[in-house]
Amino acid sequence: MKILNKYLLVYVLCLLFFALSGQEKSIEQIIIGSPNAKSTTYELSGLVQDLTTQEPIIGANITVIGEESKGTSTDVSGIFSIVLPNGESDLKIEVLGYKAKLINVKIYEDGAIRVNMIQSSIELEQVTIKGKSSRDNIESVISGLEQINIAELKQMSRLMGELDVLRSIQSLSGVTSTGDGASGFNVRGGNADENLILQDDALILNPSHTLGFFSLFHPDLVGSVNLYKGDQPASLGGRLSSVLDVKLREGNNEEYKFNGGIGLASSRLTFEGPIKKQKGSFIVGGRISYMDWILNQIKNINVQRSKAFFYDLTVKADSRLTDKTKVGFTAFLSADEFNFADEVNFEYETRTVTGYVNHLFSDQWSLNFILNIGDYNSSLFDIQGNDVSKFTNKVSYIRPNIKSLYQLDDTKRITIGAEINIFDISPGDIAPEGTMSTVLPQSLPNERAAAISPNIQYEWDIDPTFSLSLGLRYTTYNRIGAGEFFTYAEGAPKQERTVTDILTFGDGESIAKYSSFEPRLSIRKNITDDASIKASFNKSYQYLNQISNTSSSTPIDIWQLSDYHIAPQVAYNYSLGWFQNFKDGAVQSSIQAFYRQQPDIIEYKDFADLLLNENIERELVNGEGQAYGVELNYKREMERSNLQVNYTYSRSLRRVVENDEQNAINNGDWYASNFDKPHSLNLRYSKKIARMSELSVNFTYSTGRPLTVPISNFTVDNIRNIPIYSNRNEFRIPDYHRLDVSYSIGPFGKNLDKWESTLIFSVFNLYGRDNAYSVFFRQQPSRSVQALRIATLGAAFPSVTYNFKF
Amino acid sequence: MKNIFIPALFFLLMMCSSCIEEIDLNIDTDQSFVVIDGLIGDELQEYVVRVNTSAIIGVGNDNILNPISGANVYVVSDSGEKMEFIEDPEELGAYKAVTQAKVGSSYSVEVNLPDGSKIISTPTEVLQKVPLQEVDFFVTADGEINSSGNFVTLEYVNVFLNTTFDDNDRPFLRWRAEGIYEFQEVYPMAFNPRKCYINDNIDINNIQIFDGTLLNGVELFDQPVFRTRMNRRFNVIYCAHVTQYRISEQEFDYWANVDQLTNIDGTLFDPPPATIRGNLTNTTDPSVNVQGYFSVVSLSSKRIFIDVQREGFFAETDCTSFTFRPNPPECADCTTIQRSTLEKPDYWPF
Repeated sequence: MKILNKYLLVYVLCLLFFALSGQEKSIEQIIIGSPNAKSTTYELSGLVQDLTTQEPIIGANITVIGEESKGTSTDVSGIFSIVLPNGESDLKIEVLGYKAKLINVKIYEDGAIRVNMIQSSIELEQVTIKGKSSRDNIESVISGLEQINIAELKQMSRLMGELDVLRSIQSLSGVTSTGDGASGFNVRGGNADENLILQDDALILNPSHTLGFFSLFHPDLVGSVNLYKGDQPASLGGRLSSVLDVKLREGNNEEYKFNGGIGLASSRLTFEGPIKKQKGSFIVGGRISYMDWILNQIKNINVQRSKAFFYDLTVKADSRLTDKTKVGFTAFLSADEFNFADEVNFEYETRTVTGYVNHLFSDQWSLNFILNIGDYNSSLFDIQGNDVSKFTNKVSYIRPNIKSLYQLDDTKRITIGAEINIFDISPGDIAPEGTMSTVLPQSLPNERAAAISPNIQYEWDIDPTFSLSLGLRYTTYNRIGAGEFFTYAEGAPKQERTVTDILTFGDGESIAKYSSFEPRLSIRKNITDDASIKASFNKSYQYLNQISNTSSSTPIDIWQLSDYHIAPQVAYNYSLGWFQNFKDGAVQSSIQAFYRQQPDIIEYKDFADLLLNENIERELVNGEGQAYGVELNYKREMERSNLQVNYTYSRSLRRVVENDEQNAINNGDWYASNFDKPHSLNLRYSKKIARMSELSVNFTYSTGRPLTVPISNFTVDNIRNIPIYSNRNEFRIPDYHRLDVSYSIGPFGKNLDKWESTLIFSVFNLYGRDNAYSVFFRQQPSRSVQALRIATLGAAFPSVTYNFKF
Repeated sequence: MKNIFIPALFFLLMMCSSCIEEIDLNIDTDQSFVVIDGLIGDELQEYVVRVNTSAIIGVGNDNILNPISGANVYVVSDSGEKMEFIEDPEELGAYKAVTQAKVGSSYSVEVNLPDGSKIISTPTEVLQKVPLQEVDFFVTADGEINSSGNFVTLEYVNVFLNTTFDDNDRPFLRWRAEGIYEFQEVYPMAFNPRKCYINDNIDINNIQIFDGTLLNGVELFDQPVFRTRMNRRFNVIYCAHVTQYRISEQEFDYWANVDQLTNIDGTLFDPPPATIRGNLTNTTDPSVNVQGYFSVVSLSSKRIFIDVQREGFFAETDCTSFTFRPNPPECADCTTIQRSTLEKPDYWPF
């Protein structure tokens, strides 16, 4: 109680001080860790962003009051990092056009905070606890924005002891996946390829390691995670469903530090330090897996003969060249290898480099230039029999992006930018391996395209209770030759027999041009001090699609550019939400409804042959899609515990009405998409049990995904038991549910300055639910057809991780 | 340390595993469909059109046929010729005729069901025959991991064929194979040992098709027809009869889809399954799903006798005259083997 009284006293005195000083500045109090910590210094990372738009703020200055020489500034991602002494410090955060913010920080362990800056005309009169404003959900103009900070990430489910951004994303309302081991995620009924995934502004095409069991993002480097489910800022685009924007934190700019973890499946290590004290820093982090011994424990000969391996390496450096100019880069390399039973071998890797220059021209104007270069390579090796071969495909991209922020006055802000996306895709090469292979080499011609997307965003706080955000993105897209395309008879299905002509395009010649206006609109109106209503609308186009007709996307799925035959996909997204807080923000709740209309989607014919197909348009059919649903969120923060519950009801439907009866799906009726999961419930509870230990419990439930099942079978000639299937996705696999627990103890160490460690025990799928990874059907002699379930994690999956820092 | 104990106990008690198990999806499967399975070719011989209904999932055993008796079945040519197929009273649902199709003409089947509905197939032309030039075999000894996880060496007989195409006429082909082997009873189990000839179901669920448009050149070499374990069936002599059908592109797609559908691995990466569409339509109600295929082909065939000793191998018999090891019952009475007969085929070499 003495400590509590001391905090209260400090808090009251601070309030009194600022009240008497007459400054129109808000104060926030943040407590990180427990006062019994032993280290003398700790690292504080943070994300500084605009309260209403949630856009990161570049170039905000952070200084320690009373020690003005000590300070830092936010990078292009709005992220900063500073070392503070054990105990209490006062930070001042200043940036042009915003109210200066004072934060009283009591720091007893390394931590991260999120700082919401308000424009000069808006008052914020509340105290933020634990680094995140309890009014964010009310004040932010963007509906459908989900934010995860590091503290929340640590409370999420752990598979094999690994913190995982993607698994955390999947526990949010409106987000689902097709099952354990599925790559990617689905947002509000959208396909996995309809999510734009960025890591420090670098495009990530496959966010998964080990076919989806782990995510690509190094948990010790993640600074912030934003998921835009509904409205998206105009500066981001090119996908129909969502934007997942992951920002990495900066390195420590005062001292060198190591931290890492040793787990059952993988280990990780991070090294960071100053390039020049308080002027620049670097951080290098890597992970490596060694999970073959786990596969050997699984009682299945094929799994025992399988191998899984991945590693990733991230290097990030930032430097303030002058008071007004900051530069930096992030380089990322990730590689995976997965061998199944010495039969098939997958390999895939992601390589990206992003550099940025940020300059403040004046108090009102800043300019930010980002260049992202990267590629994604995947290979499939057939390593048995006469078909020994290697199939490869590759996507390369160059993405320059320029963004200028201009503060018109205290209530109006404008952001103007332009993004260029240049893609060069090698859609598939197959080559025989060895002298005995009977496979003929084949190579599909490269595909190239360039898209230029100028964009503008205007934000206006009409009054303190009413905000408006208007955005417009215009994209002009050009698919470039060389290439050859067949033309088909008007109105007829695209088949070899309906070919009318062949068009030949030379190198660099334009094959197809498309342009699109993509308006964005968000409004927020506060109804009371504790309630607001938000609405948004956006129209999005997608020019790069993943061609896959499997239930889950795979590492070797081909990325296909819009071309002469394949028009860009378009979606109209609408959302409406009511956000309500209780008990001064300790309880936050919301209800959001959404509707998406997709007038032209890509669907696949039955038995579509997509691999190395030069005329892939013949395998596709035109359809329409719609998704709708309601999301309910409840979050309660207490002194020693947190509770978060969300429930989503959503539908994702498709319809294909074709003139050709053979290609109409389900007789032209609406049917469930592969990822339609109407009910989804997530519950997370964490509680500090003792001085050094914390228990987290996560429960998740969702409706089983749709399934096409055999309803009868027959014999023709010498082939027995040919199944007759139901309508597409007429049935469902059993529902998915899972309970995970995690128990952390620490930090340990006699002298935490030199060595600090924690132990984390976790059990994934505590009650051993046999959740179906897949359901398939098998015919055996003298037996009727069987439905078989593969449960990848059909038992409780315990793990222990040892984390250290020095 | 108390805080560590409970989670550590969990760790020790829990085991990692994955499993494949049978589940009940509680699906109402009370649906069956008309299935027509037939063929007509350019050789004069008996052809069969089978009319059945499909089997209900979860009821009965493998390969259940539910014949539809009393149908009127005709094969109709584009020249107006109408050949009637008569139901075999010994085999209900099987409609037979000895006939021959003409190269260059188109044929379709017409089935009038007892309920009054009529089913017809898409007319298909009989294309020029592609001669089957050579059928041969070789024996391989392959190392494999058996179900117990042990490395074993197993011997296989591989039958293959060679054929040549016309450069300007790239066919779609399908091959079927029949096998017959000789089995001899032994003394003293049988007082007067006899020889049986057993019809071997060698290519059940074996789909062998080829798209001639993909061949680099005009000669198809070492095209596998079937592969089977070398065991007692090859102790004396084994006769393989390979038939080559020249089929339409539509039929090729049909068998390719059947092959894909019957070989689904069951992973998330499999394409979604779907019902195969053949070339049959219910003209009374086109929305009614009719399954099966009526095949119109030109055909050629070759027969080879396989003696594995030619390749330096020897296949042991299960029957021995002087041993304490018990002999299987067929060593005393070879007619107990399924699909066996004492009647020697007229083409048998000795």
